[in-house]
Amino acid sequence: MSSIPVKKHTIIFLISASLVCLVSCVRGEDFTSSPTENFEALWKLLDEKYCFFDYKKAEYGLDWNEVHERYASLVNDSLTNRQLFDVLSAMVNELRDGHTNLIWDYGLSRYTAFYADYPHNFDGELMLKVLGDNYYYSSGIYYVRLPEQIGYMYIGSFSTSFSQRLITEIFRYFEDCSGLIIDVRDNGGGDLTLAQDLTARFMEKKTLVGYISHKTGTAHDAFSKPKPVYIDPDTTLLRWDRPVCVLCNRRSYSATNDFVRNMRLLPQVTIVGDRTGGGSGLPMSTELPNGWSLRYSSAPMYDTDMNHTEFGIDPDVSVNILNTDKQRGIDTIIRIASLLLQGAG
Amino acid sequence: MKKPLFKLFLFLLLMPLCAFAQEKAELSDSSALAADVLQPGRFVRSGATLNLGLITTCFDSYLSPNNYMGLELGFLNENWRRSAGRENLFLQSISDTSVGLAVAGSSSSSFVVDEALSDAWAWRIGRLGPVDFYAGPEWQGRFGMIYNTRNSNNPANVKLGLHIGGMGMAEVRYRIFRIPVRTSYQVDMPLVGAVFSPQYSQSYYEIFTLKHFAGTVHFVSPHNGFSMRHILTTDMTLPHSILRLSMVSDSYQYRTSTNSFALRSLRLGVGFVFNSYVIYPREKAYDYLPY
Repeated sequence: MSSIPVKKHTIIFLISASLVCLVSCVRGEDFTSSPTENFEALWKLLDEKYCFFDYKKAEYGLDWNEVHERYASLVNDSLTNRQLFDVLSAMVNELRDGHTNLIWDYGLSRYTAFYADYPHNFDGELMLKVLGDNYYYSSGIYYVRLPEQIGYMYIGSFSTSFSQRLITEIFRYFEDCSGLIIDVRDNGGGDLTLAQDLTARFMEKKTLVGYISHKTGTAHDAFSKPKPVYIDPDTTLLRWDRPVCVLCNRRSYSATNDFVRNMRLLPQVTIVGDRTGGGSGLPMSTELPNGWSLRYSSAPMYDTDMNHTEFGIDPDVSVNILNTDKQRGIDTIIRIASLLLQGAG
Repeated sequence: MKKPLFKLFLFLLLMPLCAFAQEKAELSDSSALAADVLQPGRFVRSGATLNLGLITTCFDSYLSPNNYMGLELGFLNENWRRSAGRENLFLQSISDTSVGLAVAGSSSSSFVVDEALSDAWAWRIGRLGPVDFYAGPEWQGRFGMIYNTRNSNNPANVKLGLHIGGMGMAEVRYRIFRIPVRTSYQVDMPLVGAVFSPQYSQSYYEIFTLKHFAGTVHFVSPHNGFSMRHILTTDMTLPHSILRLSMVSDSYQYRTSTNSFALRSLRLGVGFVFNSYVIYPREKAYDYLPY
């Protein structure tokens, strides 16, 4: 092996590069349990990441800087974790957003006024009476053929996955029915894709259903250009083209709000019941320096006219459950939907 | 979501083992066949070590603003061979795989999977006393994932990166109690490359379900994140094997326009080295078979 004189600049370069590495490190926040630091961190995280500030300022005058001033006076480093959680939860609820929650090992903050301040318009006992004894249940879907030859299916969540084969089988079971009721009351959402796949079973062709954008930076108005969202049905699958009523209430939230938004675009669909709960921001998660988790709306989804549906969607036919009906074991909303479908049929 | 993530995890875990097994199949040592077709200068040194160490920083602003720290298990496989035509040119392939668990506070945890594949062309550029120096260009591919156990719609962030950079190595051979020892210290520096990273609050639903890929590939260079890997290895020739001790210090980091990422670790390992010669081309070797 021959000896080659070493090039000193090579060694100098390597040593220099090592030093550069030491001084240019990317780092995150270190753990701290200080109430004031966590308050400031929460306010800043939401200030930089939450997506509905401008919309909510216009809707009800939300001023996030004013919120900071109001709540900062309530926080000091002598607060216990529970006291801090209560104060931070109240601050988070100023956003009036069911998708924005603070999660501690021993509690979860939630905003409920979007449904708690209104009639429930759903009663499980009444629904069971409608289902009777001969209903079927599979993958989270209850379904039965009503005596007036109307198909009825109740989907309580889009978190429980169901197959396209199940939907096909339900459609075949309802073959003799003149209409279909899809009840998504009290459905708090779940998998957006699952809800869109169900919508596709009622579509004839690829359809624009809305737009989505996301935050591109920390400013309140830093958004990407809205991108169109299409639902492209698989035309080899059985399609339901007869009249449909979608039943919703204030607890039809998140992916269910999206489902209602999409279904109302179809000519054979009528939305019946109460206004949906909303929740049109796609939620993401982050953390406070003390390890508490924060879920927040990060990406706004719009309807086809670029309107927000964050505060819900009005039904085509507004119906509340009447107490007189309830006492007789009748679900007014299902009753009205059934009459609408019989009339349409 | 969880099944594909698990498959990816298994794939990344097993990939270097498969590569190592394939490499061994292509090598042969002092067999009669090898003696016939042996080409001097095609020496291959293969070293594999199992590493255990610390994740000193795991930070991905897409998932959390917090620093995570933890433990990781790694597998480092290195092949070093002299080029066919040039006495001072060597080809080095490294597969560095690690899986780990990092935590922040008492209730937040993240699973980390990282695979770094690199090929370097190392020229022996000089000698200073007993120390040989090598340097040359290299490419590096980084694949991996960080899975945050608590996040909802952004539970994981996939790491994909392709970099071009350089390596430098110092190697010294000496004896301890008449045992031949070889120690090398190597630095790898990715200089320019491209990484996949979602935009500030862009969801995977938007990227993959709606296929809005624009803006997810970012240029990286030392101006937005200086990455470096240090590898210190010591090979000791024992009577029937060559023992390798290794220390790997890896710092991989970058800032895109909206997100920041850093993964730093320090691992110690132990393994073995196999010296062999390439029989190439393999098809030609059959011409030398006596039957």
